[in-house]
Amino acid sequence: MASNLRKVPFTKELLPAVEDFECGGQVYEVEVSDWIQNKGPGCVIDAMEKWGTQVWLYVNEQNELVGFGSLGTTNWNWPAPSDKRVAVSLIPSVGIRSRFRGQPIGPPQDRYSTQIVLDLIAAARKITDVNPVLGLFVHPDNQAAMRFYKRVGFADFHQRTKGDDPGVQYIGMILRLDQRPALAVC
Amino acid sequence: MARHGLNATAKRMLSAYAEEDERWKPGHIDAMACRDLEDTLRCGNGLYRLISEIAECRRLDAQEPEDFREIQDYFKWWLKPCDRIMAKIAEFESVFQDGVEGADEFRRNCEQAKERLRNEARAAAVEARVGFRDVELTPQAADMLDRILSDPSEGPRPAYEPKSVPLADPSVLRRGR
Repeated sequence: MASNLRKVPFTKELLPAVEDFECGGQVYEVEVSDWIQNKGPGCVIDAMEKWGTQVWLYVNEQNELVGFGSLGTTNWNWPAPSDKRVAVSLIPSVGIRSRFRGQPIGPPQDRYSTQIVLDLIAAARKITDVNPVLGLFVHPDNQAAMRFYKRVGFADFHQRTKGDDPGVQYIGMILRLDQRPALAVC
Repeated sequence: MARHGLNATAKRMLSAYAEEDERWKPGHIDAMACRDLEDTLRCGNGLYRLISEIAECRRLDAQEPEDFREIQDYFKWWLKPCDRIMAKIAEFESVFQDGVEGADEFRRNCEQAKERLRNEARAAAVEARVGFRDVELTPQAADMLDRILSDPSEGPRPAYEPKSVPLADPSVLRRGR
């Protein structure tokens, strides 16, 4: 039987609740835990204050913190010389604590990770002032995440971004959010 | 602090005035040059306060990468003459025991501006990594996005029906993590 999650909107006051959040020791996993623990500029509080990002913490039926998800909006620019840009929804960061990875046992759509991403997709569908596209970027070494996002429906859309390490190109993935028409690009 | 500095300036000016007949002596020239430096510091510190206020206003409502870049450029521009000015401050502080008016504030502002730019660079890297900043689409990505936006049948869709997770009371997180 599925173990259902519930979510709590994240605020600064809940930083202590994530102080021991860990989702693994790989570089890309530490990036995720650092982000939610607000370890430095550009992390969760900046994302909320500067970019209007919404963040939620997810708990299971035992009130254990399972993971977090975030949802924002941004503009992506057409290649120069075009000045066209398009407003889209974005998942800046999402993470699941190591001990809950692959849990609960059962159909893939009932796993905590899938429940979190399906909740973010449902929330993105409610954002009406951007185009019906949801994007995210994955560390190129995080093959498990890429397989997971593909299983949920995302596709690589030939977009790469650089982060702190200029040698690493994060892989862009997108998903079409139906149920509302596209806005005009500016 | 400001009053102390102003008195020090006045003392130097008075001293130079009293020694009018020796006006071309090095002490007088130093006092005049120090006064010019203090004028520069007053101007620099005032500009810094103005830029900081603009930055704070933008921080409260900025959503566009251009806003962040513009503010960053203001601080970079403000910092440009700082090394030269700091050298002058050190030079005059070694000559005048009662210090240079505005120097402490200027030093603090320099440190803050440098720290702000360091933080901004770190934030930019993280925000670029997660997709907020500086995303210029590749031609292939732009084509794919164009097709999705113009044709409702195009584009990858959710493999499962999206389902909202219900809200919980935040107190559950305080009880048992």
